[in-house]
Amino acid sequence: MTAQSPWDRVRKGRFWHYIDERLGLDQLDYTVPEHGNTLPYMIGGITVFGFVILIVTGLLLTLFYDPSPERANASVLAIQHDVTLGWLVRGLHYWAAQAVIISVVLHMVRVFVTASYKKPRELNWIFGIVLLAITLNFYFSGTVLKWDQESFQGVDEIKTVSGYLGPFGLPVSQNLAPTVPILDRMYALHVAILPIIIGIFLLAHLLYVHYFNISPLPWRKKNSEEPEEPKEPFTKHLIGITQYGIVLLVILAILSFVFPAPLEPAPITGFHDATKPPWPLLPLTAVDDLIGLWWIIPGTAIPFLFLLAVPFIDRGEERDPRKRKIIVITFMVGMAMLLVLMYLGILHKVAGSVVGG
Amino acid sequence: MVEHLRRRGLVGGTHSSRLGVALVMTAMMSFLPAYNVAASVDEGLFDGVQVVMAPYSANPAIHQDGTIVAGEYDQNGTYKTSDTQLTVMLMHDNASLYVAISGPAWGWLALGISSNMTVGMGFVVVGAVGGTYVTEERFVSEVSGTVVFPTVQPSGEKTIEKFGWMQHGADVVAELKLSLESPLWSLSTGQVYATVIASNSTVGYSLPSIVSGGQIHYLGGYLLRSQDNPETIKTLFSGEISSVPGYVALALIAIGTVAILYEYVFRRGRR
Repeated sequence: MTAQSPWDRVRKGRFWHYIDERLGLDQLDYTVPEHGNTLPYMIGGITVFGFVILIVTGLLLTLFYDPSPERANASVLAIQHDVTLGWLVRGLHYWAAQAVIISVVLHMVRVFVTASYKKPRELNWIFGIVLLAITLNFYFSGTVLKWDQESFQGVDEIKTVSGYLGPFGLPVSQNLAPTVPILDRMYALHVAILPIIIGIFLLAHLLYVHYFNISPLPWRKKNSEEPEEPKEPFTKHLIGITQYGIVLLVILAILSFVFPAPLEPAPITGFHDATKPPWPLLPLTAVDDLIGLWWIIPGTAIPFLFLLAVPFIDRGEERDPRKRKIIVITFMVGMAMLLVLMYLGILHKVAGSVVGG
Repeated sequence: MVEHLRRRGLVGGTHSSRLGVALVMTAMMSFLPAYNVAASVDEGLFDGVQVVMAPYSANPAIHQDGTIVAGEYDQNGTYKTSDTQLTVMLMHDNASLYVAISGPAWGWLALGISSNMTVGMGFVVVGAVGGTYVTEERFVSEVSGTVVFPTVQPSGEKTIEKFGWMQHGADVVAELKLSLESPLWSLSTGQVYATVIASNSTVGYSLPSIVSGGQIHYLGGYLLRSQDNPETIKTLFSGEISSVPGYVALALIAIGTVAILYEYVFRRGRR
């Protein structure tokens, strides 16, 4: 007789039975391939865990944050220094945002390399790319909310870019509602509009991960004579993600303590290019430096259009990355270019200029 | 307005009189944009400039007596000119800008601040004339590498509220109290203004009429807000930004990508 794990004992208890009978939690007990419980296949789940941290800490922050341009920076300063454990909540929110950006990129790399976007998962790949774009928008709108010099400069750049986009730039331009501060709009975007959109796409993404199950290993052929890969319960996958998530939470708490979330002084006007954008936007800084601000529009659109087109370009049945050389090398060149641009962005020298007045 | 002109017989008369009024008004209006376009401060001169700060004090214990005592000015508001070894110290209290200039007997020093670069720059000039130090206010409508001081002082309320100077051996100290709201400028906290400090070490007999080249130092000027930490602001203006988060993120994404490639390309199936 095998020894029962604490989890098994909980599942056989009366409380679990009561809940399960009413919520149908046994539906989570479907099987997934064994490789689904390896770290590369759990990065997506860890990203979702990161989003949960962001939602919880974000809700707490809204209780103390004032989105008016006159008081926004002071209210964040108060959260950091006056509100009980405010530094921890803001720190977790800040560091979780960094972790989510890194994990979402690595999740995309894993899905690409293992060709998990292939039939019948093409649309789920597109949902994933949309989620990546929403996540980046979440990140940018979040950095604006602290309303310091970096935020002010970011909004300034966005206003310029929205001008290049003509009518398409109207939603992020001051012209949409001249009397409403753009900070208020960013707040609405961050706490209302984007959460609804990401909720819809994330739900669809997870639903189809469940529906199509975790994609097979890339070198496993259809109708292969190899013995079928052992299956494991999805709940084991969930437990693994939770364990990694808790480790992540501890790391984020330590980071919050050792490196408090940054906050510069309230915006100073009349001084341009006084600061650098946060690291996910550094590639755009490099593009601006090298060929001009206008080029960040194609510089952003082209990679995303390529990613959206990937399942329709690479339509063969082959999943092994060594046999999909052209698309894999193209993708890796793109990744390398992104990292080089980020490096150039790090090297970018800040030299402020006095403007207007 | 048309009704007013009609009552005075300026419109509604003959075609020729109406045409005359129109021509005169058009001629008058044509001067308005011409004035605005001609008057400007070249923004390009202020790219990547050093920003000098005027620290805030609610009740600064500053007296315009030509003597600087310890603690009278904040060290964070100190600027040293490279050529004439003059030290300029700045403070403000949200109503006035306090300026002290000290160094070996100097010729003149001009402090210019532009609160509207499309209009021009206000200057306060302090210099030696006939063995004594005097001050003047000038508004320069165009700053583009050379500053030509007009001979006419701006009318209305004066910018210089108080002025005092004193010779201390070989050194001269001059102190000014300047209004933040005046015909020369309208200054407030939280904004960087195009600022010029021009100076000449030669003691002459008149204030300058034209300044150019190495005599001019292009700067940014910033009045600290009450909540500003001078050290933080100094770091912000010096462009000292940590690149650590960028490097760490770059490394994590690169390592993660290489690890995924290693797992699924190079170590394929060897498990």
